[in-house]
This record gives sequence, C-alpha cells and structure tokens, in this order.
Amino acid sequence: MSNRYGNNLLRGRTAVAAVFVATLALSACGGDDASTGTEAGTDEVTLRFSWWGNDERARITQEALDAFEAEYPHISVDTEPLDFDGYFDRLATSVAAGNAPDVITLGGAYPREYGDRGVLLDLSTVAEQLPTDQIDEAALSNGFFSDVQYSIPTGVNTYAMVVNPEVFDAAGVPLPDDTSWTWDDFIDIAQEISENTPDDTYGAVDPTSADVMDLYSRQHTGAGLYTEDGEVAIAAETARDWWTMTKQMSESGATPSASLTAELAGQAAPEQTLMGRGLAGMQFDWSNQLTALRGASGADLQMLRAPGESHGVAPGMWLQASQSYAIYAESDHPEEAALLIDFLVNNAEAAAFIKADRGIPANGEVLEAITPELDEDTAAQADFIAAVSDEVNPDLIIGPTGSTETRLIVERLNDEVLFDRISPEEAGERLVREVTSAIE
Amino acid sequence: MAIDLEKTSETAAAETEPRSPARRGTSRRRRLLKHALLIAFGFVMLYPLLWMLSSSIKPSELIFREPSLIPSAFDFSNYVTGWNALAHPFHRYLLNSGVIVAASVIGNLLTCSMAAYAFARLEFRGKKVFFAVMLATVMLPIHVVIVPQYILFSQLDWINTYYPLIVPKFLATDAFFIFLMVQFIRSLPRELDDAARIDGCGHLRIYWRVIMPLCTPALATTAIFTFIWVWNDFFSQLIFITDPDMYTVPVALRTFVDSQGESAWGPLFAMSMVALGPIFGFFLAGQRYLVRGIATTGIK
Amino acid sequence: MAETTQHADTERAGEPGTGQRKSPPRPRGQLAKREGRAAYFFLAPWFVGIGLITIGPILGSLYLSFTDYSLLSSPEWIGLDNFQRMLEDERLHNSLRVTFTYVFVSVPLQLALALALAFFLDKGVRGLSLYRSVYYLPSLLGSSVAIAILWRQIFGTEGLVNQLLALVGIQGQGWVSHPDHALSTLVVLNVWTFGSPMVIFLAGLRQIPTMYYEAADVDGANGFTKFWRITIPLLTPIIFFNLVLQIIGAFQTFTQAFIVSGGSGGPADSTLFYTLYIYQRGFGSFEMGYASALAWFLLVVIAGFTAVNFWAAKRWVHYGD
Repeated sequence: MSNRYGNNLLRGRTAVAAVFVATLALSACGGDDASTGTEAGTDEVTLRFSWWGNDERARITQEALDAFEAEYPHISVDTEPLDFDGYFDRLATSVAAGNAPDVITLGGAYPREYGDRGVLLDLSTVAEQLPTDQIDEAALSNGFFSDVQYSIPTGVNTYAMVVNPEVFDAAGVPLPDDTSWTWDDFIDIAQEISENTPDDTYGAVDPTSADVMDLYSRQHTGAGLYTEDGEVAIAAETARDWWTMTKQMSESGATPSASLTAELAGQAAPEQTLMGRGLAGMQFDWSNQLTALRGASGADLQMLRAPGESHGVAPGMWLQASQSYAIYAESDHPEEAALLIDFLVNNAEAAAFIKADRGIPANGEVLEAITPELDEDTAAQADFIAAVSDEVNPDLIIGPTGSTETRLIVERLNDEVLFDRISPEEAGERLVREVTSAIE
Repeated sequence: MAIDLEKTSETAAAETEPRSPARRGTSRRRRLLKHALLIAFGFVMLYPLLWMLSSSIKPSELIFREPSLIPSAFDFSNYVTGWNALAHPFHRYLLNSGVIVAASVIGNLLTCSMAAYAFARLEFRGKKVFFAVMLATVMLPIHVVIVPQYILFSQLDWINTYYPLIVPKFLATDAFFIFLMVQFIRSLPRELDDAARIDGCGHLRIYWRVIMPLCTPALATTAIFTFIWVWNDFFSQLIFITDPDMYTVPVALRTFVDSQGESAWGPLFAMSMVALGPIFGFFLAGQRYLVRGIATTGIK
Repeated sequence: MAETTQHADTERAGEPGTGQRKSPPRPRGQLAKREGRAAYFFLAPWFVGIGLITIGPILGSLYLSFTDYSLLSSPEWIGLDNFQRMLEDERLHNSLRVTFTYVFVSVPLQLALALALAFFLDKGVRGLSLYRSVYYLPSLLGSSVAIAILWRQIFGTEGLVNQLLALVGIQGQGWVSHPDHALSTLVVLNVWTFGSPMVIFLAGLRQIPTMYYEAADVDGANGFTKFWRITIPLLTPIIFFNLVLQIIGAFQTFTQAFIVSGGSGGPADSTLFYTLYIYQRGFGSFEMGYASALAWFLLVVIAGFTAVNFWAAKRWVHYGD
C-alpha cells in the first residue's frame, strides 16, 4: 500500500491537496503567474535561475544575464536570488512541490544530495549546448558521482590557512615556510603568538571544522571523511588525535577558550571572525573568503598551505567547486538552461562581469581572459590556487546523501570536547557513529 | 447609571486616591523614584535600538571592532547606499510589504472578529469541537505544514503571488486572534447584547453596533500585532515569493548579509532602522485605541 | 470549554445592577435555529480557511509522519518506525529537556513582568504612552538579523554584561556561548519581549468597566482590595489567554534560538529547542517524515498542556457572560 500513496506526493499531487484543489474554483483565483515558464514548443522561453548571495553579486549577475539575453533574444531569464541561509529551505520546498527553478545553484555536498535523489538532470544529455572540455578536471569531478555529471563548477576554491602578517610581526614570529611546516609547528607558532600579543589576540582560531577533519584524515590515512561508495572513512582514532591536539591548544591559550570558540561558531560572517577583526594570527578558511577578510581586517592577509601537507601519507588539500550550476530534472527547457550555464561558465563576456565572484573560473581560457582585470585581492587567490593546484589531492570524494549534516555534528562534538563534557576519545567514536547514522 | 463614565485613562485611578497634605512630600519622592525606575528600565529596553542606530551611522568596518554606543566616526552614507543598493530603491520593498500588511490587517480584523463573535456569543451544533479545532491550529509548528501548504498553493498556481500571504488572513486562519477576541468578548457583560436583542437587533447588528465598538482595544491589539508580525514575517515570504521585484522588506534586508562573503553591515542596519519606522509608527498610532475601552466609548 | 461557570466572586467584586447569575435562558426551537444559522454565517470564512488551508496540510503532515520522506523524492510508507525512533533519539530527549525548562521558567517570568508593568502603567503614570512605546520596542525588532548580532553584543565574551561586571571587578564569561548559561540568555531574551502580553493586558485593563471601581469606591474599598477583588478577577480571561498562548508559543519557540545559535542549537545542544530540532531534521538533513512525526508529537504535548489549562481555568477564570 505504501507506493500507491507514496508516489502521489512527489510533484505536488498529495492526495489531500488534490481533494481540496478539486473542490476549489480554481479559475477564479489563478494569480498572475509570471514565473513557471512558457509552454514547450513556442519560441519564447523564460528560464528561472536561482542563486544565493549579496546585492553586489546581484548586480554583476544581472549584467551577465543582460549580455546573455542579448545573445539569445528568444530566452529571457528570471533570477531568484536569496541569502544563503534561506536559500536551501526554499529550494527543498520548491523541489518537493515540483516547482523548482530551471537552473539551480548548489554548493558543497548538495549536488550529490539532490542528484542522487533524481532531482538533477544528467548533463550529458545536453552536452551539445554545454561542452565541458575547457573546464578543469578536478573541479569538474565535484559534480560527478554515481557515474553522472550533475553539476558544473562556477569556479574553484581551496581550503587553507589564512594568516595575518601584522599579527605575526607584532608577536615577533616569522611566517612559516608553508611547503614544509608540520602540525607541531602550527601549535608552537600559535602558542608563541598568543603569548606575545595582548590578551584578546590569539595565535590561531580553533581550527576544527568538518573540512579540516577531512583534510587531516586524508593526510594521516589517505582517506578523508567518506569512502567512494558513500561510507564513513575517517577513523575514530584520527578524530581523537585531532581533538586531543585542539583541546590542548585551547587550554594552553594558543587558541581561544571554549566559550569564545562556541561564540564564534554561531556567527559565520567574515567580518565577525577573529581574523576579520585583526585578532588572530591564523585561521582556516576558504580561499574565496580572502577578499572579505582583508576588507574587514584592513590587513594584508596571506594564504598558506595547510600544516602537514608534505609530511602525511597523502596531501590533504583539495580543489573544490566554490559553487556549481545544475539543471532541474523536470525543467521544461533543459537545452536553454544548458545554454545559460554554458554562457556563465564558458564565455569570457559573462566572466568579464562576474570575474571571480563565484570562485576562480575553472575554465582555463576564461581565467586567462579575465586575469589582467582581477583586483589585487582576487589575484592573490588566483595565484595561490595556481600554486597549489598541482599538489592537491586529486581523489576528491563528494559526501554522500545525508552528509550535509556532518558540519553540525562536528561543531556540536567540538563544543562537547572543548567544554570538557566528553573526552576526545569519546568524541572520535561519536563522530563515526553519528556521521554513519546521518548518511545511512 | 452609565452616562457619566467619561474619564481619561491617565487619571482613572490617581483621582480616586485620597491624599492628605502631610503625605504629599513622600508621594512626590515616590513619584520621582517611580519615574527614575521606569526610565532606567526604559534604557535597558531601548539599548537594542540605540545600538542599531549607532551601528547604522558607523562606517561598516567599525561595527564589530568598536562595540561602544557612541561612534568614533560617523558615516551617514549608509542610508543613501542602503536605499539604493538593491535592484530597486528601498521604497519598492516598503510598498510591497505595505500592500501585504494592509490586506492582512483588514482580513484579520474582519474575519477573526466574526468567528470570535460566533464562538463567544452564539450557540450552535459542534461549537466545542470547532473551538478545539481552532485552538489546535495554533499549536502545529509551521515548519511541518509549510511543505504541504506550499504544494497546495503551488497547485493553485499561487507561488510568486501575494495570495498565499493574504488570502489565509481573509479566511480567519490566524486563530491566535480569534482566541484573543473570544476572550475579550466573553469578558463583556452579556446584558449589553441582551438589551440590544430586546430592542430587536439581529446578530449582525449586535456584532457590528454593540460588540465591535466595545472591542476597540482588542481590535487595536489585533491590528497592531498583525501589522508587526506580518511585517517581520520572514519564512513564508521567503518561501512563497521568488521574484526579486516582489520581495518584501525582511527578505530584501537579508540580501545585505552574505554569510559566504562580504556583507554590507552599515547599510543593513540603516535599512533595518528604516524598516522599523512603519511598525513603530503604526504602534504609536494604534496604541491610542488600546486605551479606548468601555470607559470612554460609553455604554449608551 | 466554551461554557465556563459563572462565579460568585464577580458579583462580590461589585457587579452592580442585575445581580443575575445565569446567562439568559437558552433560545429554543425557531430561535435556536436562527442563532445556529447566524453562527455558521459568522464562521463561514473560518470554515473555508480551516478546510482548505489548514486541515489539508495538517493531514498531509500526519500522513508524512508514517513515511520516510526526503523532500526530494517520494515518501515511502514505513508505519510506526519514525515513532519508534523517537524513543531512542537522545538529541530529541535533550531537546525536550531544553524546551520544558524554557517553558516553565520563561513563561511565568514574562507574564509576571508584563502584568506588573501593565498594571503600573495603567495607573495614571505621566507619560504613559511614552513608556508603553519604549517597553514595546524590543517586541518590534522581531527576529531580525540585528537581534542575533545584538544579543552577542550584550551577552558575548566582550559584551555589555561583562563590561558592566568588569566595572565591579568581576571577570565575566561568554554567557551566550556557554552550555550552562546559553539557555538562560534565551529566557532573558524572551522575558525582554514582554511587550506583546503587556499590550494585551493593557487592553484588558481598559475593558474593565469603570462602574465596578466606582461602586467599590462607594463601599470604601482601598487600592489593594480593588486590585484583588476587581482587577484580577475581571482580568482572568485575559490572563488565561496570555497564559495559554505564551505556553503554546514557548513550546514553539524557534526563531530566537535559530538566530542566536545560527541554527545549530549550540553550544553543545544546550539551546536545541524542540522546533529547532524539527527544523534540523526536516530541512537540514532531509528527513521530513521523521520531522512530521516529531511535529505531531509536539502537537499532542501542547494539546495536553492546553487541555489541562482549560480544565484548570474552570476554577479561576471569570467571564462576564
């Protein structure tokens, strides 16, 4: 009996809703429906394109879309921008109702979360409109899983150490050589900076995050958080070692107290971080945050490779699609949607507006075309990515469905450890257990 | 007996307290103390607003680095920048919100009071059951009904229109206000409508001529709360409206913040101050009616 | 509940005139029919609304609570599995503890403050409307982004509270970010928005016919007697209303916890309210089936509390009808 009812709910035909819809005089209430697109077969096509970001991104995206509409006069694009926090709520709801936008912006593990559930179009069906041969392989692999290319990276990003040379100077500590430094060096440097600077300044921000655990585990065992076939790969012992280290750092004052760390975890904006306020020597972050962090701190922040990269069994760093574009599987206009994505990622004209706003372009030709126009902060990111792109770990494994929860699990266990409520050992075990149950 | 009930709110109780000259000194000291306490308490209450005001006139980069209320540098351009930062000038979003809010207030005032009159004053089959159902609808968390609701509105082709936000208000779905007015109406002496009934008034006239005027404070409360809640409501406006041209104030405000990149904090706080204007104004205007109870409308 | 008994107290408190203790006799026959028709007329919009917009989605979520539903693919019927899972879900049990603590601490505090200030302000204070507006301001701010940031400005490690403590030589800590104190700051946040119940109390106080007080004056009653014998009894329907709604509201507290903890319920789940957990399950990890089951359980819990409230109300709430 399950399926008889079950299948009804997808695409918005709940038995319940349908009953009430039938009893309602629909024609009298139909609204001005501007958004659901025109009928297939007509020449005029309206695409819906959803993305997250701030007002500046809205402005340059609109400029790129104007250029697109000029090139394809029969296609018009309705944008649906939103802030990051609300974006995925609305997306999930609209997918549940069978009413999602044609072109969807995704990030992190979301392409797989959506792709494995049949929400996204297999992009090989529109390869003609959307060629991918110019796009960096490693970046492309972010959207490739279960043998299907589900999304195209908007740009490339990497997770690394942001440092504030001014804080190093003030503490009389030289910047480390990031091609050879170890985690012990990281601890010592953090400790030394904390000791030689005012009380409110720290050598390092608490480094724990799901991304760092992934990196640390890869350095130590060759495997990150997940295995290829969607199981948990990180060992409880690895996580235990990690937390043993960070707990000592917090207790010795190299990193902030448990309470301050918990406070910072709740506020993600770059301006609110210790690095953004010029109060930290080192902080793990995404390379595309560099501009915001520099602006906020007013200091000439630099990016370094993660500690331990040259000492582990494998490199821990990786290249990640900062965002990616996908097409809704139920879209009425998959070909036009593909044209739009193609224009945004493969066309230098679009890139002239968007530049590196959605990450350093993954298309080599496009990157070359815009390089002279990059501002100083963005050029620094591009240089860093170019420098590390040959060293990073090529075996990227996208988190399986359910893995978007890992971030919160790590954050919660980190609080428990730092506040002394559980031991690093127990935290390691619980990490494996809870992530396993989240991705089952 | 009810003719000379006219009395202003401020003096209602004070007047009746007998005071001897000897106690006047103490009473003045007590009054000063009372006001000192009320003002100190008021400052605690006002702190958020002062902080926001102060942040809205600081240069963005100082907001988090300098916690003090008095800015060391002023930057009034946040208001100009904020007003023009988004795809439309900010008044566009104020107007969008205004349309939804105005319709919601009218809808709630009318339909919730009608339902409340029935529950409070009329006898009919199934009253207890319906009342329980009405209360139950206050109890279910929105995050779970939102998906079936979205599916329903999507079937009606109402996504990206204001219908999902307005039509429910005309169908008395804000049970909170029904319950509020039921409680108010029930606390009114019943002999008021009995008298009207003896004069030959039908229920419609009793509702409109007797109960509604006496319910001014409850209606004012309903209008004020509806205004504020709808104005501040973020989640349903976010879910149901996708076209940026139709965005409302809370949704538009969010686009100043980008947890993934640079946020325009100064303009955000400046526009948050602007967004407070209409609700505070409405509260100031509406609160006059809060004090118009039985005492001043009179029972004629 | 609709018919609550009349109480003699109301009369002792000085209800003049009628001395009547019963509602007028129930209309019969023709009259009753007419009254019933009138009632359905007044309730017509509500019937349409409840039928179309409320019942459907509620039944929809009831159905979903027996399924495995990821939002992204079709729901699959799994019977009682979701409810079984609730028995063993430790984070759920923790969130129940958090929520109950919050309800039982913050609701009485907030209502007491709201009632005290409403009464205070109602008694001819010069500048009444100014104070009332100022006290209402925090409630206007709603759940704006600003509140989250502001709350850290006050209760953060370097926040206002600690600055004040430092003045008297006490080394403070990060209140909002400590697992032992984070919930208390949310209680304060809730108490701080006492403006809404205060406004309702004020409206209620206004509705007490002044004739009662005048009658009491004639009898020579003092302020205290009038407060206990007139104000409080006649205000009981409004106190009851606020109590019921604040309890329901406290059980459903979401936005405050959401914005203050950034959606995580942290630190260490110490502010993981029940609804926040529902949200995390439903939208965060795509388990809308389980989230629906959680929501239905919450509905039952709240309904239970509300029923107890209504039952108890027969003993202390006085209606004028």
